[in-house]
Amino acid sequence: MKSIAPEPVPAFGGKKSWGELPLPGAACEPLRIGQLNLWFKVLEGDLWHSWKHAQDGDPDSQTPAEDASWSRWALQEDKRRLRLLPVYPDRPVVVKTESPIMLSPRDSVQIYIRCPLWVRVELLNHSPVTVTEIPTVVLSNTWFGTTLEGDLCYWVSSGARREAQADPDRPFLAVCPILVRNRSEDDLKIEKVCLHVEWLSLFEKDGQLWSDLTRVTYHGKKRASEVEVNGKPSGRAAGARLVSLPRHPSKRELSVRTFAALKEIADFLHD
Amino acid sequence: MGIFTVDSWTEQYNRFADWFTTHNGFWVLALLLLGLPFVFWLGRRVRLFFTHRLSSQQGLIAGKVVVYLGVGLIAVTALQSFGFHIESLLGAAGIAGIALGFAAQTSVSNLISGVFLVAERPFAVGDIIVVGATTGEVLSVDALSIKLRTFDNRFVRIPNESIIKNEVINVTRFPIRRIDLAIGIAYKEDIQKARQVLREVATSEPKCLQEPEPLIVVRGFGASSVDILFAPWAAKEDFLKTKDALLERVKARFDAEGIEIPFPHVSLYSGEATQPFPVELMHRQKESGKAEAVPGSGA
Repeated sequence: MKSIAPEPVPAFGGKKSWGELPLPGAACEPLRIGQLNLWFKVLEGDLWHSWKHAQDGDPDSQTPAEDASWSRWALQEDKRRLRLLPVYPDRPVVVKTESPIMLSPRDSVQIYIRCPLWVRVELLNHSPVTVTEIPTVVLSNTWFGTTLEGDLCYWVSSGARREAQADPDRPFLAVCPILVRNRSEDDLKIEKVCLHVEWLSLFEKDGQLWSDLTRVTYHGKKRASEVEVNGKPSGRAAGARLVSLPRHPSKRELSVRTFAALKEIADFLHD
Repeated sequence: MGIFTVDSWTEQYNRFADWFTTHNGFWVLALLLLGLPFVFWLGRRVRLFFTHRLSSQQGLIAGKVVVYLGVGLIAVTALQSFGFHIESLLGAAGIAGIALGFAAQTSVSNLISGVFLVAERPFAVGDIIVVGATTGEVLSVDALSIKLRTFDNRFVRIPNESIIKNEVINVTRFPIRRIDLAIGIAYKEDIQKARQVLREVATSEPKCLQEPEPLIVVRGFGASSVDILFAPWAAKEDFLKTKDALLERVKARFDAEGIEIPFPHVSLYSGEATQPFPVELMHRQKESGKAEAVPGSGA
């Protein structure tokens, strides 16, 4: 996946979480992003890293626990810098609206989702080498579909909202705008949305991360909804700088399962 | 005068050479040397083709059909070339077949059952199934039987006839599974509080699916406890790990909240639940260590 780094940030211990960093020394260097505590050190020519998700009420930890599990990456002479890149989770996310939204035929509504991001740790040289990817916030699994078929997703508990608010103090969250259009003859009740973040690009503006706009067109209960991702920041994110491209480039329009409680796909019945 | 003279060997060889030449021996030899490898090669290609297009099981069957047909064709051609009358052979085979059929009823039944299994596809290679008391991963679905690998790494062969006749549970057919946990709480506990704690346990376990929502229902009043069914969902590959994690969390939370999980016990009543259990003192021990009867006790 091609990626472009945000601006360089201060070394370990700074408030900003993303960007390029020089390799640490033998002493353990801590970093905190969201719930994620990350530790790095370089010993015997290898990069060692460990991580742990803090529980509620846990203080920032400067040192890992004695029984912490470490991973080790052999360093080549020419790789002397690290990069921490924000990326989307590796699965779609499901979000419930704060309360159900009713949409009349031919109407549209824009909603916003705050999606917790993952950290991609890269070793830099001519081409970046991905060391690991870790979620900044532990998300629960959820299922979007029926018990017979569906998609394994992450559950985002923060809720979908009608207003977008930038929150640079929480740089591990990306604001994802979704435009929902009702092109059916029936009212559409929006209770829950499945957002395929693996198709989204990530942009940055004034310290806030944004996704491109996702347009979902609802055609009724018997047809799958159309999903279009435009690849550009829009609205309040207009003019934002590209940070990373999608994990999986999507087709221009896709018919996917987006809205809950609908049987969109005719079943092929067999014994 | 001996039987095995050089002349007799030479004569035998010449006879064989004449017969071989007369009956297209070289053609048959070429057929066998070139035809048989070709048939096996073709079988492999067909197997790969159908495996890629359909499934590994169907690819395997298609490959075997090609090989069996090819070898059969080569064998018949070779026999005809050598002058054997296939018709009489087939006639004899027919009679032998009837006799064999009676003896091979079970095998034929397994064979036909195998065809139905392939067509019906109740499970595929890689699925985990339960057949009777055996649980295992399907290694192959063959003409006469299926092969399983149990979780303790034993090899199990089950005739196809048994599969068709009996109930088979495919554990991994669907992508998600419900984890049914029977939780008992003491009669003195608040059911609503226990329900709330169980909901929080399900929410806090990342591998537990938030939707479908966990089922928490009171099943009934047991002999020693109020029985609750706690049934959250998990992805099929996370089933065992999630079950283990949930049970541990339930125990930890119940302990933290002071909710008792009772062990089976029996309460004795003397006849009236509200009266104390009567105890009559028969003997008491004096300071000297000797026991003496209590007056009026009847001892």
